[in-house]
Amino acid sequence: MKEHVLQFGPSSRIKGVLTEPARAPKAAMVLVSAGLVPQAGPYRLYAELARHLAKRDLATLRFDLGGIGDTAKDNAMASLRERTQSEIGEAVRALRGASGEQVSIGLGGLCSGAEDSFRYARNDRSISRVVLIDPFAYPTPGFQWRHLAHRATRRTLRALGVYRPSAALQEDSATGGASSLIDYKYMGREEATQTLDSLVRRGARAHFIYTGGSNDVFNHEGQLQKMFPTLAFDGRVTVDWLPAMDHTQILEEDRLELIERIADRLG
Amino acid sequence: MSLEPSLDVAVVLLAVQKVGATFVPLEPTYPAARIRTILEDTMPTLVVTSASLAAKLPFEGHALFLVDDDIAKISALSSDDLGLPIDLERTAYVYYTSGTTGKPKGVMASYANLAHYILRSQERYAIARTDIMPAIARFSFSISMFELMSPLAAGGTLVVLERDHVLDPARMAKTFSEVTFFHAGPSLLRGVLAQIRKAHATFEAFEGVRHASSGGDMVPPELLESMKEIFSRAEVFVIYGSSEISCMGCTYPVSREHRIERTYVGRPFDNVIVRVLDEDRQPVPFGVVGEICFAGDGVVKGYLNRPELTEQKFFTLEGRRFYGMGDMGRVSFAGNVEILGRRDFQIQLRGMRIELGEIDATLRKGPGVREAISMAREGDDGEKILVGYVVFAADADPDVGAVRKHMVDHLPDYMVPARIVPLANLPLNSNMKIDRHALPSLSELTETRGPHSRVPTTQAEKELASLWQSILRIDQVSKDDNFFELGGHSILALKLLQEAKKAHGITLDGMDVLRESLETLAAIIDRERGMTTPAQRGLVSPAAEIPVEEAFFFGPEHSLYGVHHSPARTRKGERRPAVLFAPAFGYEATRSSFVTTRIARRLASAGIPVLRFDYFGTGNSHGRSIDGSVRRWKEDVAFAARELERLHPNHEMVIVGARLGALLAVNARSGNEGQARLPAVSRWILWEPIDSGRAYVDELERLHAACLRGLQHLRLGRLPRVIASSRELVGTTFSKTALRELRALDWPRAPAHEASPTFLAPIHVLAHADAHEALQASNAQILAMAHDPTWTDARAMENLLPDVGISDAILEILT
Repeated sequence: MKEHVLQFGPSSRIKGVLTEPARAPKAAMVLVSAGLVPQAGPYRLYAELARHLAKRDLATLRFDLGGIGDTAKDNAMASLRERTQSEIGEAVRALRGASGEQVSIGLGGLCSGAEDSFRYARNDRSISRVVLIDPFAYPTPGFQWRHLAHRATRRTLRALGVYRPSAALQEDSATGGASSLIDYKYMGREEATQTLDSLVRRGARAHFIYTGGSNDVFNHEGQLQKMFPTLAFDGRVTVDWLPAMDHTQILEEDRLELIERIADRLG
Repeated sequence: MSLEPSLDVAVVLLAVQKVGATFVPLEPTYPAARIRTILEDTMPTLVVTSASLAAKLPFEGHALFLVDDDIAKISALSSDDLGLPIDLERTAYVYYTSGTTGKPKGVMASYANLAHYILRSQERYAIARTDIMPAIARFSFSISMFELMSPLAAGGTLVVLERDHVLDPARMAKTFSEVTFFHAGPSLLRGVLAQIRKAHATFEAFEGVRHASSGGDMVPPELLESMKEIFSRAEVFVIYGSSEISCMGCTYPVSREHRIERTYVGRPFDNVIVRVLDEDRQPVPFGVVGEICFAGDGVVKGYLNRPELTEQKFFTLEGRRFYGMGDMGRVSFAGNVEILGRRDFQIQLRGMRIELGEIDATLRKGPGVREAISMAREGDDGEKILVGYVVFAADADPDVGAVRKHMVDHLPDYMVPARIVPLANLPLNSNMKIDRHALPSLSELTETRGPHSRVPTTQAEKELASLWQSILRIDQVSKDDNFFELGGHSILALKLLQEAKKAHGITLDGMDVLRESLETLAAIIDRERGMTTPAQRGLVSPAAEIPVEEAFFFGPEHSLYGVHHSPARTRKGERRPAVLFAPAFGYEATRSSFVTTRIARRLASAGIPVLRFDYFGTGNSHGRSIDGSVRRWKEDVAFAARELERLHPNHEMVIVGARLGALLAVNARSGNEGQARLPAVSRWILWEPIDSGRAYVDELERLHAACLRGLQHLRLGRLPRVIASSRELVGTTFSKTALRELRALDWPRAPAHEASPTFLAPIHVLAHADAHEALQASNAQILAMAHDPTWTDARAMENLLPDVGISDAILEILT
């Protein structure tokens, strides 16, 4: 495994780290920044994932979007979404330049990084797969029933003294999460449906991972197909549901499990 | 006495002393209101002035002696000794200084004080008949007594200089080549020495100066070095005191043997006692910071007609009458006093002690002004200027010009703010008191008013700018500004989202607010509204000139990730220090990545190169945290410093350390055998440093336990896997050995650095007794910051740390 810095885009403004396997890569991945977390990822998830993938002969480029981490803001008069898509495009070109034109390239990320990847993949037919951790999700009737059952269980355990919610959770619940600045708007179902349909139709793969951090909108692995009832996944859309894991995987065992799952899907 | 600088001043001074009367200098340039106040306070029996001044100054109702018209009367009088008894307790002079309540206060000194003042300085500096001494200070300042009386009492030569002469560096440079002895404030000296360097290839012309002293304000080490170089045969001194102790408190002989790294004010004059006292007015040990207080023969009688104020400021300790200077400082083990800053809102500006309270009170009486506050701010050239911040009443016509005229009419020129800045509101701290530290700095004011700042033009830009001004309490916003870069933080951003929706029906995305400029945000709004945006018209904003940034791996086996911020351009001949940023660790590093990058970019934009890096096993650097050790992380600081030294050879190195990074860096100085060591560091700036590794680990454990409790609702009782050889703490896995090392990591007992550090710490940390003690014991300068939110917020992990004035503070320290 070897790592080096890639600076790319106009004026080499965008900064990333390319992790390469010892041998020629059999595929390559671009990891897109999650929220405002720099390129190493939350609790270094992206750095550790890249090194693990290198052991399986995959090259990875993790990079900072403009205004985050080491990449300066672009002053071009374009919306955030436009610039994000443009910067992901630059990353894909840089990775292709480093790994070879023939290497298939996938995209992945957590939360906003997942959705940015998904959105980009729709418009770049060269993207062969996406790995989306805690992206959009849409409650289904089954979700509602399971959610009620889960809450009832929690209340019972709480009454029995087995479970005590943290002060932070109680505060969030009381304020309706109003203390969070980033009221991130997930992709609407119509756009998600069209995008996923587009990917599946052209033969690209999409792997969804939902953690417990999404349990207010996703609570069963079967929910994914129910969210897109009109789409035929044809084995190209897969899902891992990891309900015991939090959104940013603060525990090492959770990060390792997540990394293994992703590597297994990609490897 | 109210006279223009002339020989008459010396004659009048001697005449007043000859008859045992009281000398009260009145600056003819004072506003009429201030002159009236002083006349009402002193009720003089005689005003000595000139015919021309009497015609324009408010002396009506007072007995006048006109030195020009009445010269014949003087000549007719006997010059013999009048044989009058000398009463040492009589008041010899009253000097007026600024007061906190808006009225100046008269410092009343006895003839005994005057004798002490002149004799002690004459003895200490061996002033002789052969000396030629210029009177540089204004006659209304008490240090002028030293300049006027010293040569007269010793039989030397007094050179009286007109004000225009003093303010002309070229003429002053010539004067310095003609005198043997001078005292001048650092501000004036800086200008004259620069002029000398410009006009003289060598400094032989100044070899006649045998004494050069400065004081009245903090005298920077580089100025003392410059004095040593130019006045190569002079004894160079720092003099420290105030009117209340007859100016001669302490003096510090500047050594020519070695380079001056910090400015002491030295040891007390004969018959002067200095004590450093704590808040309970109890003496503190050597090295501990407290208020500098003086007793002895120089302590004056008090304030004229102000018995309560006299009682408040003068107190008895150990059977002696003391005066508290209001300066915080300490005594070194060698017995030298060092001044670290003020404890109140008195400032020293170009040698003058000024009570900001008096300026504030006068500002508040200005036309239409509802609230006001003033502050000394340092400009790009290192010179302090007074800035008055005013909030106009809602129904008032905000007229800054009228406020300025009001100030000129009521205060001496040196107390009139050079800038008067209208604000929407004055910033408040957590105690709902006005937070002077949160007021916009000069650089911020300059940035927003600079010639390149682009004024909001479209409707959406103006709406947003108005909201930002109101929420951030700033007076101007440009198209290129970013909300967070102007000091916004998450709570204020939430407020912005709410108010934008409420006031203008604008729906903003928090992510956009965090990352975008005002212009881009407005373009997004325009698009939402279906309006044509500049982008659609093909307009592209000019790319800001940003420093060159290069990311790379360096260090052993290229294992460390770093980013080098190189200034886009530096001024010719300018060599700024190079800064190594030793970042925080673990989740704190992630949380502060925004502000760390911002600090680096701002410094690089100011011509200061910066290298920041990730420790081994963290961020983008190689390795796993479990394989890291304190030894390795300390070495990483040294590796990075060596890399910066390689990139910028011959630059002085400054280390800016944040949190654990600060503790690792100061310990890196004393690396073990075989370890990489730090090169010479000229300055340390330590941002809320961890002062105890044990306390740091304890805090991590507490936070981690809180995280685990937060995970319970997902795991329902399932505990995380525990590995015997390691311990996870808030997303970072440490080996047991590393944790043991971390717990043992402490602040070096003896300062392990050649240059004294500056601490940037929030007020609440300074108030914490243990931390404060540790900081004080570390031989450091302390700069209190107003952080909100802070590093140690309970829910810190979820919040991005905004730039809470840190960039400005560091930039101010370094430039």
